Amino acid sequence: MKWINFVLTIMTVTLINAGSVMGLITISSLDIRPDLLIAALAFFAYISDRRDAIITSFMVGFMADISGSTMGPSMIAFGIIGVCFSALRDVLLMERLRNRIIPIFLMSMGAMIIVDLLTAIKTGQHIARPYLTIPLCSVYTAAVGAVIWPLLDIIAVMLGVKKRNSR
Amino acid sequence: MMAKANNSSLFIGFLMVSAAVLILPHQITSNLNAFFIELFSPVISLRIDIPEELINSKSPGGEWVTRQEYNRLWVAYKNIYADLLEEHERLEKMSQYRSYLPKSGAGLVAAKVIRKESGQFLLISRGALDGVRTGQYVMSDGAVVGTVSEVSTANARVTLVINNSHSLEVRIIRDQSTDYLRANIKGDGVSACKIPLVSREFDVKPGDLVYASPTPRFLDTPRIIGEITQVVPDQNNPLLWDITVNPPIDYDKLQEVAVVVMETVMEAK
Repeated sequence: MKWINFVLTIMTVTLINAGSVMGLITISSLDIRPDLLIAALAFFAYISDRRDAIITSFMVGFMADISGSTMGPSMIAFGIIGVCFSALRDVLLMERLRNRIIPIFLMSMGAMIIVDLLTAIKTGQHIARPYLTIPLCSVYTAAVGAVIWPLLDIIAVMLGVKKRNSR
Repeated sequence: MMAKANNSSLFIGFLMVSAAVLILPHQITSNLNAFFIELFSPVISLRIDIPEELINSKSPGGEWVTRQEYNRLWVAYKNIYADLLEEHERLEKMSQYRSYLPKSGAGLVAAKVIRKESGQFLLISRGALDGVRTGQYVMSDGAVVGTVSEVSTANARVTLVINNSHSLEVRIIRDQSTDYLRANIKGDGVSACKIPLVSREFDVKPGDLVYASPTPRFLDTPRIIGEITQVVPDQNNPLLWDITVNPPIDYDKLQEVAVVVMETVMEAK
């Protein structure tokens, strides 16, 4: 992994994710928007070897925290979920668009639930209607994540990550 | 075997660092968030606005205005009406005695909205250096949109009135009436507000107006928050009303707000 390129890539994704531009694809007043960092987390956890997956997961979590409002919750959530996802990568086939949607959806659900719980513990703030917001955001994240996967594949080549052999 | 042990140590190490960051007080760690926002605010606040003409076709006679313009005029009218009521009240008092202290002056600090955050928060481009403090009211086009909940040196976080953990003291006023009812407003977490704990003994109807109550050091005259759109008996407690208030602001389109920074008599001295 070329770590400088990785940092630049994640920084770009973070700025897009945190920027007002995302308002263009936000749905409803519940603020339903895809989390590009979770999509990136899924991709890097899947494509990297175990050691790199651990580092990238926590780094993506750190970027999610620093661009948000609370430090800590995303680092823990993304770290745990990313490592679990990386452990399952041998049984997952992410080559086809439809195969990517469910793993990214589940990953997003898990990460968002943990982030919401830890944020509530730290600051006492809950997101509005989490029973509705979290699944809808996860569906949106899964859809967007599955679509941008080929783009991330191209970026992975620039990062020097070896493409996994499809079975 | 060795690689597996190394990976486990790496994971545990990162997890412990993350837990330490989580445990650190929010007042300390929020400086990191503020630093990031300050560093990248030109990129984060970058907007791509779809021109109004593409969304709305224009009336040939020019007999109507856009919803945004209508809301702006509606808010301005209601605020002038609230001022009139205040002046009436002041006149009544003045006819009995002369106020000893002059009216404290309220200043408005204009701020750019850097972004709207999930959970009904706004991140604005003014902070402690500009006199912004926690608890100050934030307005847009004359209507109260929220209060300042967190302040860093150059930025502040505003909790919108529609946030479900946000509560404000309000007055419910019927149009063309001088009487008002005191209550507390709370966001519903989506796009409207609720006024809980109002007894059904009180006459509250759709169309009544909701104003933020004047608060010492924060707001000197009532300012409009919204209009009551629904009044139904509370399902959980039939003795109370379930009141819904619709704010006249489209929070997704907010680009600029004004923070009410009051200069109190003590500070002026």
